[in-house]
Amino acid sequence: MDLENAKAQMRKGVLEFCILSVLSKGDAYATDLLNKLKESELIVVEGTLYPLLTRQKNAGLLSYRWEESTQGPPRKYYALTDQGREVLKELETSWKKLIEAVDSVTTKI
Amino acid sequence: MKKTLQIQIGGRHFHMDEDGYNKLSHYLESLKSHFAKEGESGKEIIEDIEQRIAELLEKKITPSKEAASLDDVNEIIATLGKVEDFIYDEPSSGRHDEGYSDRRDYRRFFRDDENGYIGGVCSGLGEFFDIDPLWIRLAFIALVFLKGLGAIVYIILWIVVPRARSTAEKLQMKGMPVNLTTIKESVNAEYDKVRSSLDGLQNSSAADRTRTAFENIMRAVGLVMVAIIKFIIGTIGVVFLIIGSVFLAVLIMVLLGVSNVFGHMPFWNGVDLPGLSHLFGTPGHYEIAVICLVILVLVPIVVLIYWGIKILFNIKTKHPVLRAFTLTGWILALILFITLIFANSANYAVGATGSKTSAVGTGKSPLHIDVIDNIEDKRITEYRVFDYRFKYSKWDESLYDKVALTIEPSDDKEMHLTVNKQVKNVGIKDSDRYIDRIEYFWNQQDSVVYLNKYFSTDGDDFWMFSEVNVRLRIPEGQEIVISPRICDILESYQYDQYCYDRSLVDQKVVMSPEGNLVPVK
Repeated sequence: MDLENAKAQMRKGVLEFCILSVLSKGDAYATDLLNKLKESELIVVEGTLYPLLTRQKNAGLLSYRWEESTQGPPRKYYALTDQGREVLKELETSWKKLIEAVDSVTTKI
Repeated sequence: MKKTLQIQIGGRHFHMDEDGYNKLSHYLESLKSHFAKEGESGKEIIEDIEQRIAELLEKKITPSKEAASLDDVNEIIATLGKVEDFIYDEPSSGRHDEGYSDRRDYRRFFRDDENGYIGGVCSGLGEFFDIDPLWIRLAFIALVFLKGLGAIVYIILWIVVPRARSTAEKLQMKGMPVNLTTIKESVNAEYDKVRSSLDGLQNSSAADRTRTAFENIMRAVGLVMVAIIKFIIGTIGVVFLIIGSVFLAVLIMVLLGVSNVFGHMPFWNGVDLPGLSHLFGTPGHYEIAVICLVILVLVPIVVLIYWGIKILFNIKTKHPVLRAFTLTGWILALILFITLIFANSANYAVGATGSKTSAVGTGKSPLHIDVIDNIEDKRITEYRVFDYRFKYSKWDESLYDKVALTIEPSDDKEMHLTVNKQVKNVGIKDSDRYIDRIEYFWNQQDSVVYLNKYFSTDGDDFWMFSEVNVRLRIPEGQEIVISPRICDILESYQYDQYCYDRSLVDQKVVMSPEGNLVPVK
């Protein structure tokens, strides 16, 4: 088994889940997201976030609008679409199941 | 002075140093070429990242610092990360096998000042070797008691090893362990890379064929060279570290621990190197020479250790100022040292002798020759430095050594005693003074000539390797009695003659016409 690959896949999945989860609590622009994700050490290099956001937007999970900013040029605010909300719900349930499953397996030993 | 450019990024304007701009545009180019195959969304990603760069740049600009520097750009790139470090699914699975998912970050040695007490060296080492830093701290403390070695090593590591700043560096600090298996894996990966590049050359696609054959060969040679050089550098790192550490240990022993090797010699004050103090006779020159010598020896050792650590732990920091400073300092020390040697060499390497001949009264016959052990009542400590033995008396701060006696026929009717003093390694100017500092006594009481067994020199004059030869010249027909104690100081060839079977001691002997002492019939 390629451990590094598995870890990267795992982190990527969790990261996508977390982006949706953060956005479900309110619209945000990329830097807000970065700060939240870096706080919890989910993101190592900031660059990771941008391809993921674009991909989720292309998949119809996110939408964005431009908003004027008091400092600097307008910012791109991301918001969950209805489809995104559904995906998030699904992910939340499968995440819970996953945790239960992993817990039950690891604690039995 | 630096050239500053005005740039526009993310809808904002900035001033930026030229080198910073080059680095940043290079970075953006690499991102663009990576995301190019994704078309519109690739462009969108780049735009978003440019926005972020602009935001980060804005934080670097202050009223006192209007232009962003190369350091700022480097920091921003570290924050954003290289494209290989991004975690996401490549849209086309084609690139996958070449790819980033196989990429592993080997563990690198960083200082971990978040969990450290002083500079985070021990904590970082603990991360690197996967052990509790407590053990490393204890080891360092133990080493400190070993002539301060621990402190020196710690300070070197503190300077050489960078602190883990960014999250990426913190993760690298805890990355894949560097052990034999992983080293083998990386060597294999390197080998595969070279081989696949070579394979690529053989069945090259149409696009590749546009490249000239010469270019291809050069590229292949280059790849092989890089692999070989990487291996050699790794080996050199280990060798540097070992050699450097051994030299450092020896140097520390020489500087601090010599008293154990040479005993507590009075003429050994700390860094007083024998043979140097008299080589640099001019006042002040000796101290400068010692400082130069320490620099000459210490700098290469520290540099060796520094390089070893850098290579072994994959540290890529550069200190150009420090390097220039060290190199200049070393060369200056070398020039100064050589100059001092030339300036002082005229005063050195002179040997001198001085002799005094006295008549010995021969009125009484037979004349007794005896030896007095003149250091019997002094407290003598004997030292050995390499092959040389020194007898030192703390009481009068003098060195004592045995004289060498020869008994020869006189060329006239008189009896003569010549005391010949010899010194080595002195300057022309001072040789007389040094010879006068050698003291040797003998005396005659009626029919007995008493020779002292030892001569003395000043305790500081050990490097002159002084010698005293006593020549006793006896006229033909003179009867004498040699005490057995004479055997202690007789020159070795005469010892065999007179003392080997004790046949000639303690009885009347006479100087024969042939120049030998023979028993009186």
